[in-house]
Amino acid sequence: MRIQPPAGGQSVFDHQPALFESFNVLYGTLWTLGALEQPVKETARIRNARLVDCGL
Amino acid sequence: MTLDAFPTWLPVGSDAAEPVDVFGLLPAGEEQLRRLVSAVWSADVDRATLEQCRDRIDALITGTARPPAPDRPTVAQRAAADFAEQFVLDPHGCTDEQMHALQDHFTPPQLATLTTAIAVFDALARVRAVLARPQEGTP
Repeated sequence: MRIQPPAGGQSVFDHQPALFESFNVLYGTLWTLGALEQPVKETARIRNARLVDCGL
Repeated sequence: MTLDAFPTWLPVGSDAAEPVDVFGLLPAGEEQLRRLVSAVWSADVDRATLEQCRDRIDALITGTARPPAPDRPTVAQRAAADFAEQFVLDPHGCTDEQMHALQDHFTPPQLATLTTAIAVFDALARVRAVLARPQEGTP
């Protein structure tokens, strides 16, 4: 691994829990609320993931 | 890139040339977005380094560069901006050498901040590039 997570953590972002939480709150809000239907968001997510070769 | 208002082609407002708070149009998430951006700027990476990264990203995505900062960037700032450029162009192209070099200048917590900041700057720049009203004379 290029950058070790902190003890007890799983990723580099566990070094900054408050910042990571801010990101996750926004991410969760965009997924669960808003004006777009879930399938539209998922389609965009998949297309983007393919483009950048993201395995998630 | 910031959350500042900008002229948009979106059908809002009465004057298309007037700046619009586009991110304020979000039906959900605006407050969380502003909190994240604020958290990025107030974390543990100095403002000058973040500005170097933001400006490099803006230049890549918009094709226009801001005037250079009066002070020459430090080695650490150049490494951070190079990382930002690689993130925008091809995130899988980040090499072990590049990542190890970054760790000569930044701690792991700072690299977590830096990576989050670059992701946020990249996203905001792309949103603006897509939603901004084309300037006169541009194709």
